[in-house]
Amino acid sequence: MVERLTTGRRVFVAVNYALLLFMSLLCLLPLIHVLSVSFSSSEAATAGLVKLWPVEFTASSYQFVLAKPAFLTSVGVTLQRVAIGVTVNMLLTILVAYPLSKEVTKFPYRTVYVWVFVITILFHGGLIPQYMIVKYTGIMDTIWALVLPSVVPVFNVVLLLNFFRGLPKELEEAAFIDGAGHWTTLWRVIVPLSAPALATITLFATVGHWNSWFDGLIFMNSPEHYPLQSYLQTVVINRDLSLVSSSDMKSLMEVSDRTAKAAQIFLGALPILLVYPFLQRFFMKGIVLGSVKE
Amino acid sequence: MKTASRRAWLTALLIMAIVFVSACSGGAGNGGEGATDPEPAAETNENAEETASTDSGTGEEPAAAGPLGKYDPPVEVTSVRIVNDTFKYAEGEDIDNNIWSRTIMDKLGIDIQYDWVVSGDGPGGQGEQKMNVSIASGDLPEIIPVSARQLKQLVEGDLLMDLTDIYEQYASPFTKEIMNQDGPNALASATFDGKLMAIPNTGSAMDGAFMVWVRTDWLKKLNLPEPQTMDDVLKISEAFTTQDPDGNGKADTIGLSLNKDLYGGYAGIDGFLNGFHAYPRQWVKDSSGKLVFGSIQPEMKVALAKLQELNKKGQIDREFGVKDQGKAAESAAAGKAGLHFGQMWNPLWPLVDNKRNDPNAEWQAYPLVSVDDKPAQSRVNLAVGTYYAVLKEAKHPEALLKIINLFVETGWGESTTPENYAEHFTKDGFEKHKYTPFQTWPARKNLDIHLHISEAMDSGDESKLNPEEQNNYAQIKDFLEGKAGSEIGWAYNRVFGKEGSFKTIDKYVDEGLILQNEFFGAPTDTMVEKDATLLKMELEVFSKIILGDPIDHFDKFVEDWKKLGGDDITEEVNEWYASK
Repeated sequence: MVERLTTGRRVFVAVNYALLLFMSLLCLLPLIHVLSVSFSSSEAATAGLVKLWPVEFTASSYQFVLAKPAFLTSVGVTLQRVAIGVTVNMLLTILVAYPLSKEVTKFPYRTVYVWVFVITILFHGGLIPQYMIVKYTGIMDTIWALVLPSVVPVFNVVLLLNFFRGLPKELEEAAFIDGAGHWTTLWRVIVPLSAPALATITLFATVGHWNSWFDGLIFMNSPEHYPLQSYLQTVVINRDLSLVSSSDMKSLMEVSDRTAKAAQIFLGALPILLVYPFLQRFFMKGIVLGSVKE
Repeated sequence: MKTASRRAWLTALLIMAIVFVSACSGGAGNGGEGATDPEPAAETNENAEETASTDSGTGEEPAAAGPLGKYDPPVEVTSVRIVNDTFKYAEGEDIDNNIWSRTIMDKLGIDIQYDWVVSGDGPGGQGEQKMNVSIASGDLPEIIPVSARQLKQLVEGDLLMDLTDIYEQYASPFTKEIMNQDGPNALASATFDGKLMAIPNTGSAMDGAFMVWVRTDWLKKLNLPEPQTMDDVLKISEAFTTQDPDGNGKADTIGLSLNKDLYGGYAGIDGFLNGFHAYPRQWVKDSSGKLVFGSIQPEMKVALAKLQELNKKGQIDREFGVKDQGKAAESAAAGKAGLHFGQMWNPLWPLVDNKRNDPNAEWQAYPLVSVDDKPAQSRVNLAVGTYYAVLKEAKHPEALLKIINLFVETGWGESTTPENYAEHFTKDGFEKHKYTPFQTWPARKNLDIHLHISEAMDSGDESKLNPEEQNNYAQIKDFLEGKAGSEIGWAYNRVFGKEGSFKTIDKYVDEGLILQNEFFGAPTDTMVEKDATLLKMELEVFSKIILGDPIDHFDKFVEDWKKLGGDDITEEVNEWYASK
């Protein structure tokens, strides 16, 4: 299909691309900078000489970081958390979204139930009650303290239930006529058709679990149980140098450890960067066009 | 068709939501932290009473008289720990099992159990947040390391034991001496209504004194005198900006380094202001004997006007407003800056990075310079970061003092040996002293290192040095003998050596040029409420003035400061002062 572009259209396209390119660079450049700092020599990094290309290339900070037990343990905790957390999140999200996506005629108190869930988005018990619940449930300092408190992500439920409602009802009806119950319909018809929504929500859940650090800090009682981001927080955060005590003078020399910090930040972000392209293809597929004649 | 377009909409919405959520998720986790302002909960009492009553059934308490007496059978004491990522352990050891936990068990019969351990000890950092949550939910151990503010909350919540008698009875004479080495302020700051409610972890106020740091190789190159007066410093600043001290033919050097937080141990304005007899963020006595806040005194205005002038002349980094100390330090490390006001440790960081990049670089600390014939005094703060408080229900409050006694005795007492010291402090390159749960530090320790090392450098006799001093001296010698990679020895030489920064501190101490903060109590009620706002306003107004706002904005700031709670704070501080 050949289209004749008007001048206005051309200008728009040019400006549009320039703007998008600019915004992509804004996102990309800091990442490249961190990457090149992590591959530079410590002296060059502390003198601020590293811009977008490594100066005095070396991989020694990666060797240092990968040999660091604390870093590896925290990666282990995070992987465990993502594996358990995302699986349970997804299972519960689907199970909650399905009934709530039904019409009021089939599920009379649907609206009431939806509000029960939505209210938890709007109002929050607060940190201290949450801490006490975790403490008195006895899951403090275990992986479950990171998984259970946010086990039903309501925002995701709302997204999914709206997607379910958008699916053609005819498909579901056909399944019922063929003798399927709710259970079969959900897993054999609805879920396979919802790949784009599920991919999106999986991504949310993964990123959420991967990035959260505050719960690790509050619910874990020893640094060995920290997930990756809580650990990185302790490494990367700037120390207040006005409060250096006489017992602390040696620690000063670690302030310059900028390349190692950069390497850890990059390694921490890498897995999640890799997940995006794999999930992206689902966004294109799974469209149910043509399955129903109207 | 209708449903198809709806589906397209949904997909578009989903994609937008992805972008939105993944962009926001980074910040989402941080939302909760500001809200961790705790209020001591009443539950603690009940919980602790329960445990107390179940345990007291055992009847006989192990007797352990004297400051270093041993419990037999051993007792268990609970606490919590805030560490940071510079804690390093030998193979197989950790915070619960190390040389100190074993020694404390062997010598004192005390088994320390940590309810939790958190990494991150900065102010407002992870440790403080976790402690706030613990306080608010009433989930407290027997001995609690807290900040001044948290201490006040616990005292007001009536959760703490009065330690006055226990301190008198169990603190060893040496511990008592150390507690008072920096003046009586440390203990006074933990005293409420005449009762000692916590034991301060004393540091050293003099170690926090400010001084002028100058690149002396540039001074020589440009034929400039050493800084004796404020005029000299201003001249140096101008010459470093305009006369190309790094000799690369470009005007790319900075006169005076500053950081965006204005204050601090590296590239702050404190030292500069002190030269104008202005004492920011500090309570000073005025002519009528009342305490006044240094940041709002007229001397500040003069000093700020001077900084503004320097900035206009291009002698201050134009981007200083966005550079924290770490970023500001890049200029020095890259050899683009050669003058700043800082503290004694600056050679260890960041100046050593400059030395690594440029072996010819040479730095020297000078005493603060004055703008008139009255000598400049350096302001210092109370050097207590942590207080050790004890819950009312604790069964062995004296264990706290026993451990502190053992710590100071092992470190600097008369009975300790070099081997014993090394075993517990520095052996194998680990900073083992960090493992000790409750510590307190002699204020003069670092100054003594300087004096002893200077003496050893003159006489060549190392035998009198204690193990810590020997370690530093060895590194200095490596550098003086020109060993490769011994820049850190250069840094130690610039700190502890004969011409090191402690020479300046020694002079301050001899001539009484250290000005202590006159207020050292716990934060007053209005401070707790308003201090953050006031300090933020101060930082904003001062930064803008330096960057070119009319200097008269200072007068407006003074008015605002008074109106927005400053007057109340002044009143409270003076009440505290009168009742002292």
